[in-house]
Amino acid sequence: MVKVIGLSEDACATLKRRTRAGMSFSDVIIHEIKSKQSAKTRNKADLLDWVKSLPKPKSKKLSN
Amino acid sequence: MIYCTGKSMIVAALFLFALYDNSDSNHLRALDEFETISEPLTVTHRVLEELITVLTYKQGVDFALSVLEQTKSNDAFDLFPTEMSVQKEVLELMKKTRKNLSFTDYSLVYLSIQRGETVLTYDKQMLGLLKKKKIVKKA
Repeated sequence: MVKVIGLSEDACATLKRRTRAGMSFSDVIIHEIKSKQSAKTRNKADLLDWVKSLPKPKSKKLSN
Repeated sequence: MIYCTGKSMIVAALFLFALYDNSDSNHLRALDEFETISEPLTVTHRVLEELITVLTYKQGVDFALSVLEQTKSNDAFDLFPTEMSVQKEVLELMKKTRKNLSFTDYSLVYLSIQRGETVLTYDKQMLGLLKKKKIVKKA
């Protein structure tokens, strides 16, 4: 199914710049989103593990 | 606990500081919320800039760069470009509401109004403003 969407002039110009021969605007959008998603190599669990592995802050030394 | 009204949650810099800085008083709370929230977390470029700047001064550039890499490469976060074109609207909101918030925080309030999504933050002023705009509700 084809949907009609509105684009700003800037968005349209950006899409035109990124369009290679034989590609439609839909192809460009799908390609751009997929390439961004593939750059995501970590998930929530990875981040939690990383944060938990960080050194704990040193407790302040009490002065005499 | 804050409930989300939309499909994604907008993240304020204070939440990310608390998540990454284990000396922060809200660190455990941020870890718990990060683990339990199932919605994608939207991080604007402006928030990322604020986070990296403060972490560089507080914990050094190496740590700040590691945090940047962790945030950019994690599928829990959606990075959202800061639109220069909305600056005027954000300033209008600032003039209208007159709360002592940073420009970045105002831009998040503006975004939350636009998208009908709540902001994940620990800033009481911001939470008050969002509540007034009926963007958040507390359990």
